[in-house]
Amino acid sequence: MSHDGTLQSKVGLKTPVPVLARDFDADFQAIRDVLTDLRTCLAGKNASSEDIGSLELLLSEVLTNVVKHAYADGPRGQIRLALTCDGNSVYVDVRDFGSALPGGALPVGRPADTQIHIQEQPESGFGWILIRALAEDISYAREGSSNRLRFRVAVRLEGDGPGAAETV
Amino acid sequence: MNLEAYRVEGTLVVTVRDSRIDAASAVNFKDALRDLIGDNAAPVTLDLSHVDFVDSSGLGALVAIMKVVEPGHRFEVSGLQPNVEKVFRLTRMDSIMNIVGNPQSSGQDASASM
Repeated sequence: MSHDGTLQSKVGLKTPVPVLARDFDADFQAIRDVLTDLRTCLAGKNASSEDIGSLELLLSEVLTNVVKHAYADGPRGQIRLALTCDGNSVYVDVRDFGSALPGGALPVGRPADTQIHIQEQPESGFGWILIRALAEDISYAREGSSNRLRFRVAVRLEGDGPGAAETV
Repeated sequence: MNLEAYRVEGTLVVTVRDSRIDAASAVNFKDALRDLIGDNAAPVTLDLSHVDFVDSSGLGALVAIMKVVEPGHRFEVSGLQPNVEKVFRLTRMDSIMNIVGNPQSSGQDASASM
């Protein structure tokens, strides 16, 4: 499926405008700082706390994966994050310069299995079930020596709606 | 990690005073909570009412703690905020972990803080 044109014409007529763009070191504290900025930014655009929470969770999972997996073996690199929105959706574009996703495909993600005894329950691996539940139109591409993950989240931002910026 | 522990009728109640249990804090959180529980032979209630963000790394730490407590005693989490409850629901961890409302709010607890 083609990502940009067809998708955006379906969900909104406006050309997406920048919301947030950051280049930062792939470490957990830097991720926290970016998520804090994101929270402030979205709250300023009157996003609901539920939408902000979902986007924050989603980005936390995606960015944490970059630190834990893409940069697991090599030196810690950079993450390039860009968010745009068209009033109905936020479009997320995440780039890193680490190793490729194994098999070049997005993991499926499995919810907890209630049949498994408590002592056997896994303590990790829940990230992708959250990503898949919260993100739409996820696409992954290996571009040269970088990874590019893009997806969309339905989030209403009033700050970019028609007339919303007109207040003097 | 900022944890506060007290006993309510034989249950060890631990209130998490930090707002996030995420990849940056999950390991510290797990270690601190393990130390606190120690050889405590009692049920444990983890009060998350001050926590507004848990990601899958934080959830993994909670599973690890559940395994420490559950062989002999009940482990429960209480006071989930909506964004935290969502993580439990989407991963289906809500059907594995004991989630309770806010049972300690009638005690000498945390409702006085702010």
